Amino acid sequence: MSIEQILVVMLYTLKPYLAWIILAVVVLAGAQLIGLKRPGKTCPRVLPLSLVIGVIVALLAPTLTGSKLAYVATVTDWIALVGIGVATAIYTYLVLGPLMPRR
Amino acid sequence: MSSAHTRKGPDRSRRRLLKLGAGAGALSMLPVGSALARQQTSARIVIIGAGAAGLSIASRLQRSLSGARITLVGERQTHLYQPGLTLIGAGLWEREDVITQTRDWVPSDVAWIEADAAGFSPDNKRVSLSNGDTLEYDLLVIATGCQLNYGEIEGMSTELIGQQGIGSIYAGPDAAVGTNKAIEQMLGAGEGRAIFTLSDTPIKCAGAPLKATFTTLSRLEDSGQRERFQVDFFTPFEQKVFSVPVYNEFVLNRWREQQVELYDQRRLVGIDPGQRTALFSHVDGTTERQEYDFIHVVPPMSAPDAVRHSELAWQEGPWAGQWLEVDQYSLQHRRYPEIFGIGDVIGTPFGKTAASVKKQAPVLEENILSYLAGQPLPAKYNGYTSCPLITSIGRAVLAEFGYGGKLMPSFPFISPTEESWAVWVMKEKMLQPAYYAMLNGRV
Repeated sequence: MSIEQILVVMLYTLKPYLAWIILAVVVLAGAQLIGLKRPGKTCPRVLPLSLVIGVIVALLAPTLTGSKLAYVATVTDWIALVGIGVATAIYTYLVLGPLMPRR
Repeated sequence: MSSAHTRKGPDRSRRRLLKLGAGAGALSMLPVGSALARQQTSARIVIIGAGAAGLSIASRLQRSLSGARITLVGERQTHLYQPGLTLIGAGLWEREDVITQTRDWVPSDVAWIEADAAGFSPDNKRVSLSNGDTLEYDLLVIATGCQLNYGEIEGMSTELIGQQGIGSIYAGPDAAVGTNKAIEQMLGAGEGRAIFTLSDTPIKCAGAPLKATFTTLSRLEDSGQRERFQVDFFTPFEQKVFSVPVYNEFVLNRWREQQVELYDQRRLVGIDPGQRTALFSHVDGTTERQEYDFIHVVPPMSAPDAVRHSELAWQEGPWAGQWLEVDQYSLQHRRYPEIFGIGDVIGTPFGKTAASVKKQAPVLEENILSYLAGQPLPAKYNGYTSCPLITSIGRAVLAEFGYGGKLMPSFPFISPTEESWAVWVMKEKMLQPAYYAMLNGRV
């Protein structure tokens, strides 16, 4: 498949989840805007908390897709799983960072 | 008699709006050049069949031709996402998940006649329809899909699916729901014998009977009572359940591990629902009766009667009188150059899956454009067929192959022989959007 075709399929795949994607972007933008108005450094607990949430979501991802963690077997599977965990951790950090009490 | 023409329907604006919404993102990615460089023609193009193949090629031709009068012929009002039927049969999807309205996929400026082909007169370039009309054409595309010949199994009919332990996912969403119901009844009984069968004819989605077996095994194992159920697979072929050796070996080895007994060289010829027995014939003509608590019936398949009983069918060879005669590479009819074929109806070594249509459609589009321009046909279909072979509920192998059984992986990062969670997610979440993009002619 060409890159163009993969992008077309991705667009069709994401279309049913458009409302959720918009909500996630709004929450992220809202958190960042709030953070701009609040002085101080990011709470040190945000990073470990984000990592924990990232790991939990990654471990739950197979179950959420009707599968099992035991079926995560190939390199591609593991890369996808780690990608989900890292993306979730970054998103959580960017949302919680501005919202958690600052030092 | 009426010539192929463009019909103005009341749903035109609504349909346009739907198409606009569905494809807006994809449209924005089209190169401007391809949108502008439409080939001029006044040809009357008739496409027989409004399923995946017919809609895909209609969308492509509507985009690439200017001035053509394209008529799509197909009676069914609902469009079925057939790759989802195995998931309904496994109790994972609802019937509504695979049903859309055909009218929502018919491209604008393409006339849709809600009838089926009743007969072909290729020497006169005419098609007679089930509504009594006759269409004349300059170019004909046969995309009827295939016919399920349940009647060739004595005692079997689609009305029985879901009753007396009989399942068969091929007959549509209701049959797939019935199949799931029959499996649940066996599970509820706490013990029993499940029989899975295979037809000796070419079948669409040849992996489906294997997937039905694997997903049922998965459910039995998850129930914690696997040892209380006997699972057997009956194949008409000798030690063969799939035509590509590497996948055949994989499946047979896995079934040995899962205590699935293989009964080879046995063809399902009859069924007695009341007694819950199935009759199998051997290659030497003898028969044997087998008891079951659940049976998955795979019907013999062929091109629809209107095609297979016409001049258009193969006249000799293994597909004689059964499938549409086309050149396996150009998809052009071997005796009538103005006729082309696409999808399940064609008599080629491989190519009866939705993924095959995805590869056939651009080949056919290119060759039709060349034919209309009086040029040699440049594009070749390589037999590409794909089947995300579900090996358990939650993992699958992305089987991709073509003529000669050659493996044809699409993605360098996905092995065509490894079981994978990512392939399962692809099957369960991404193939349907890709399929709908194909209907719109976008991939």
